[in-house]
Amino acid sequence: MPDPVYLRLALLVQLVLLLLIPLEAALAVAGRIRGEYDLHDTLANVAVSVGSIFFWGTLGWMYFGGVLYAYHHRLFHIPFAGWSFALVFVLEDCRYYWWHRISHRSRWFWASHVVHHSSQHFNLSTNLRQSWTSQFSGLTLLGMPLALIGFNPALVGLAFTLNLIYQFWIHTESVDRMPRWFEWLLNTPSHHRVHHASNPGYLDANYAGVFMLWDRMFGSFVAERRDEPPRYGIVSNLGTFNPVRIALHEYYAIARDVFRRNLTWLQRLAYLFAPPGWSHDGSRATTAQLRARVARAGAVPGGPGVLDPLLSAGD
Amino acid sequence: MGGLTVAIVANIGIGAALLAVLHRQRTSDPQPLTGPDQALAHYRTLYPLATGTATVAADGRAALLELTDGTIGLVERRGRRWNVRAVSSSQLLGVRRETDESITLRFADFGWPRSRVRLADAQTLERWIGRLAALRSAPVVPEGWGGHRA
Repeated sequence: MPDPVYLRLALLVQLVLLLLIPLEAALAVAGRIRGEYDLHDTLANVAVSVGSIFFWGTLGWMYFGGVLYAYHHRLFHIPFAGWSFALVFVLEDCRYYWWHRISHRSRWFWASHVVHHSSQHFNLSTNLRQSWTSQFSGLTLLGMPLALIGFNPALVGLAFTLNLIYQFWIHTESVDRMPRWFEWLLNTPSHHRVHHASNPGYLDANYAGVFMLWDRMFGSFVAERRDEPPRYGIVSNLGTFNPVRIALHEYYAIARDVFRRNLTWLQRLAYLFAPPGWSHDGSRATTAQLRARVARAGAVPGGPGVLDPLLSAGD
Repeated sequence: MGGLTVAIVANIGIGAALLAVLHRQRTSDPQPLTGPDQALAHYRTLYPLATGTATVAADGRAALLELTDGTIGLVERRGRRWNVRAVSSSQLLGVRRETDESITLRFADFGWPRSRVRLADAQTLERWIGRLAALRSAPVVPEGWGGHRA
């Protein structure tokens, strides 16, 4: 049975974070801060979050079960202490980075994560738009290594929770830039606006949860540019606010592709696991191909002109 | 149990406050399309080389585009955003006449299943039904960018 003090604290944190959403909306509507809310979009965010909470509540045992199983077979005994928590917090952020990167770079995992990116707005309520299928995708296996090394599952879970709580405040347009040292070291609204943008120059960048170190180290960091405002959403935006369609649309698209006629098994597998935009006949474009084609066509990366060069390229 | 009740009540209260704030904002929703040029301008945010003519819906919430390269485009308001898509034969499942002045386009796209367009008069409606029917009977061409949602 969880500690009642811990539960009360968790409820308090949740309520404080949720209160910030109407506060941001009210200030944005009044023109006091930068930001934009849309009634339909926000309602869709709330509806998607209800589904996400339901699936986490019913299937979250798969994640926690995996962590506990790994801990049972741990390689080392790491004490339950302040230093071990500090260490696991940093390592958990590294795990988050790779989980996030894989979620963007392979279509099967993207089908789960695209939900969070499908809003064309960027505000605190975007936090609510979370995947329904994260337990099915298989990526929860990435939660196991830290416990397998020997970190106590309670510490792993706390690090995971704090990582997600940290990411709440970065989903906003109301904060322009933080001090330089802060922008260098930590994830900020500016870095995360880039992450949620569909401009070709911004695609597949800034995967970090807390520390930007990982993006700088692994070559995925892109700074926000004043002359290139982020265009939020996905390259081909959705035409619906229906939460079921938002949560599952990419799985439908995958199924259509995988079961096409006259494909080899390798091509079917590629439709499942290759980067989003891969196609057997080159009729679509991955992020790298999009950038290359935009550059070839002389368009400004990130500006308008994303897709026509793609069509006129003839490949 | 008391804590859970407080949490549920507080969540509902926060949701109601948010709803009230956003309901007030609805009065400042984007203006309807003012004409074909504006529809084309929206289309060009994704297809900057597009040229052609646009038929703006009677309520200004959508437009059908006949492009010079022979393709058809669609501009549609979705909340506070204008979304665009190319209407390809491989994606268009069907066109249904709703009334004498409105049609619904159905797409093989779970994320954008249908669009309803209210046209100005029956003659325009007939012309578009004919044009979209011709598109459906055309050979399937590669989807272009259609599947990329990264």
